[in-house]
Amino acid sequence: MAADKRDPPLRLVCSDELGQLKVVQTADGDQLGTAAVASTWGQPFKLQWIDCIALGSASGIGDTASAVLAVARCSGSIELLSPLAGELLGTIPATPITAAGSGSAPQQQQDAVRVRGLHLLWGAGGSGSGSNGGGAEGPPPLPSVLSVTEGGTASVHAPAAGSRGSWEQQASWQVPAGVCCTAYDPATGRLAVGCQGTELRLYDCASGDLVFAFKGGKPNSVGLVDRPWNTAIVFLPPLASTDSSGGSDGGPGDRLLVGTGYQKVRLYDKAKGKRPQMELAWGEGRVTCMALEPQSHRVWLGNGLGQIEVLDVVSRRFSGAVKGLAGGVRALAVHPTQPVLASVGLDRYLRLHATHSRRLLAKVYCKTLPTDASMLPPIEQQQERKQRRRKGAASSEDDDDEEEADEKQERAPQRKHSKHRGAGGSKRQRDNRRRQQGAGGEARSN
Amino acid sequence: MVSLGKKRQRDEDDDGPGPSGNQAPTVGQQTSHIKNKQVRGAKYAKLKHEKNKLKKKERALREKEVARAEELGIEPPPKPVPKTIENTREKDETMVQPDDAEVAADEDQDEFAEHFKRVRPPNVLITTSYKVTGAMYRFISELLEVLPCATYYKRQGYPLKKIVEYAKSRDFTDLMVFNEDRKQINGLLLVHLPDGPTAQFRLSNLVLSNDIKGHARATSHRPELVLNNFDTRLGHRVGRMFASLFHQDPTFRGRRVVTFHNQRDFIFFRHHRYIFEERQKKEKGKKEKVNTVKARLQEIGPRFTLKLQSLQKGTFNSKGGEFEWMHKAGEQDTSRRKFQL
Repeated sequence: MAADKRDPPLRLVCSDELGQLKVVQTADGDQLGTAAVASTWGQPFKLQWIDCIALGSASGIGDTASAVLAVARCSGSIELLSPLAGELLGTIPATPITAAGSGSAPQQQQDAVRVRGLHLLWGAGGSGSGSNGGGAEGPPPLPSVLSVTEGGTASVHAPAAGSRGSWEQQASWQVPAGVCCTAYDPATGRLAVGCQGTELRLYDCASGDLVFAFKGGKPNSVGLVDRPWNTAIVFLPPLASTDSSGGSDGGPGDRLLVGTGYQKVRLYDKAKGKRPQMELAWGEGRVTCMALEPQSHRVWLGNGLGQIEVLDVVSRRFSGAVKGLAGGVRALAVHPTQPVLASVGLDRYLRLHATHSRRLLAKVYCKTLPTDASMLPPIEQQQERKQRRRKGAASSEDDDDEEEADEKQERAPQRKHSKHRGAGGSKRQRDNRRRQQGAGGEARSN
Repeated sequence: MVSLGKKRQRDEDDDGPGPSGNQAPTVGQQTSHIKNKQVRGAKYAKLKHEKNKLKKKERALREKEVARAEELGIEPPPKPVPKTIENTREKDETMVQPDDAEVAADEDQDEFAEHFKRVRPPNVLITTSYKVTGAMYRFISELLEVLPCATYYKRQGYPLKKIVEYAKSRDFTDLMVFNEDRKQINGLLLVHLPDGPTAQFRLSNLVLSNDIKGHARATSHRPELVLNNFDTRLGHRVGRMFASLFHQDPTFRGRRVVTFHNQRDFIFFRHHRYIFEERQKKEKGKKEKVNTVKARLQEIGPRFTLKLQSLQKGTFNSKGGEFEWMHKAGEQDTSRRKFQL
C-alpha cells in the first residue's frame, strides 16, 4: 500500500435512453482531464430505457465491498448490479398494473409504472438475506430497495429470507399520482415526493404514513399562484446549531430545497411551517436536478436550458455558475470527497467541473442521450484485492472475471491519454502501467 | 486537485484550441508588444517587406517549376489549396462516422425510425402565426406545391399546444408553423409528432417563385430530396427531421428535387427541376456532330435560408421543456471556424 500514494481514479456511471450504462473513468484522481468512457454495460435497446439509477453501500463511501448500483428500466423492473464490474446481483420485477388504473390509455398505463424515484435502504429495514454481518465469508448483504412510480405507488422490496435471488415486497403505499421526483433522507427514513398537480409531501418509509404536507408559495400581488409542479428535491443538512433560536430550526429531515417547473427554487422547513421559507426565481427553464455538496450548505442546480448554478443555502444567494452546456441538464452528481461536480446533459456530454473554481476539468462525449448519472466507488487497489483473495479464498470464478474486467477498465483510459501526450508525457503514468502489468502477471501466476 | 494543468487556465474552457494554435505568429502578433508607435511601425514595415519578398520568391519558384513540368510534359506540382473556413473547420468529436454502430443503433430507434422504415408515411400540417398578411398566403400556397403531403389549416387563434394535441390525434406526423412579423416571414417552428423533437428556425432571404426569373412550375410528383453536409449528431437529427417531411419513395419521373444545403450552419432551401438534355455538339477537328447528354437545372422556388435556434426534446413547450441544443451566443460563438450542424 505504501507504494501508491496517489488518489484512486475517479469513476462515474451514466445511464442512457438505450438502456446502457457507461462507465467514465480517469487515469487517476489527479489527472481528471484524462476522463474517458472505459466500458459500456448493456446493449443499445430502447425498450431497456433506464429511468433512474441509485448507488449505495452499507457504511459510507469507502465501503466498496457492499456497494450496489440499482437501475430502473422503463418497464418498471429494477436491476441490482455490482458497481465494480456490472454483473447482475438481482432483479425485482415490475409491479403488475392494478385493475384500478387500467381504465386509461395504454400510453398512460406504460408511463404509470415508470420509476421516478429509486433509493437504497441499508440497515434496520433492509439487509434481510445476508445477516452474517461482519464475516468476510459469503457475498455482502443486499439492501432493501425503495421505488416510487409515476403512477404514485411507493414500495419497499427486500431480498427474501429463504431463497437467494427472490424479492418480497415489504411495504407498499400510495402517494399522489404524477410523481416527478423524490428524495430520501436515510437519517430519519423520510421520503419526499414531488409531483405535478400536488404539492410536496413527506412520508415515513417504515410505516408509509404521511408525515407532512407542504403548501405552495403565497399568491402574488394579483392573486396568482403557480400550479403545483415540483421537479427536483434535495434534503438539506440541519443548520449548524445557532442556539439562539432554541430548537425551532429544523432537525435532520426537516429542511428541503425544491425546484419547480416554473423556474422557482423553494426552501421548505417542516419545523417552521407549511409555506416555503424562501422562494427564488431562477433561470428560464424547468429546474431538472439538484445536488448537495457534502459537508457544506451549497446546492448545485441545473435546468432544462442548460444552466447550472450553485446556491448557498445559508446566505440564500447564487454564488456561481458553470457555463458551456448546449443542452438541458439531466443529472448532477458531486463527488463525496473530492471537489468535483459531474453533469450530464441532453447535448450528450458528460462534464466534470471543479466545484470551487467552476473550471471545466473534462468533457466526455457519450454518443447517446443520458438520463441519470452517479459517482461510482473507486476500484480497490491491486494489493488490497490480493490480500482479500488470500484471506477469503472464496470459491469464485466471477471474482476472476471481475478482476480482469477491472484491469481492462483501468488501463483503457490511460492508453488513450498517452497518445495525446508526447513520448516524454508522464513518467508516472508509464511507471504506473508497468506496475499494473507486473501486478496483473503476479496475480495470474498465483 | 491542486495541480490543474496550465492548459486549463484559459477562460474559454469549453472549446478546442484557439484559432491560430500551432501556426507561426503573424507580423502583427510579432510587433504588437512594442509600445512605441514609431518603432512598432518601422518594425512592422520591415517584417512585412521581408514576408512579401519571401512570398514573391516562392511564387516565382513555383511558376518556374510548373513551366518546367509543362516543357518536359510531366505532372506539374500540386497546386496549394487555399485555406477556407470550411476546410479549416475545427474538429468536432460529435461528427458521425459511417461505421459507428452505437450511433446507428440510436438512430435506428429514434423518433424518425418509423418514417425511414416506411411504416409511417408523412402527413404534414402547416399553419401560421396568429395574424398574417398576403405574403404568407402566397408563400404557403407555394409551399403546398413543394410538399405534396401537406395540409394547410388556418390558425384561427388556437394556442400552439392545442394544435399539437389536435394534430397528434389526427395522425399528423409533422407540424410546421410559420411566423410573420411586420409583413416579413421570419420564423419556422417544426414539430415532429407525436413525441418531438421540436426545432425552432430563423427564416430569412425568402424569395417567392414569382420573383425568380425564369422559374418553372411545380408538378404534383413526389420530389426527390437532397440533404447536404448534415454531419454532426445535431446535424443528423435536423436532417432526419427535414427528411421526415417528404415521402421515402420519390417519383423519379417528375425530376423534381428539393435541397436542404447546410453551409456554416445556415440551411439553404432550394427547389428545382432537372433535365438530362440530349444535344448535338460539334467537336473540334471533327466534321460530324456528337450526341452529348447534359444535365440542366431550372429553379422552381420558393427559396429561403434557415438557421437553427433551438432543438427541444418532446413537443412544443418552451418554458417547461428540455432542450437538446440551444443557441447561446456568448458561449458558443467563440470561433468562426466552429460549426454545430
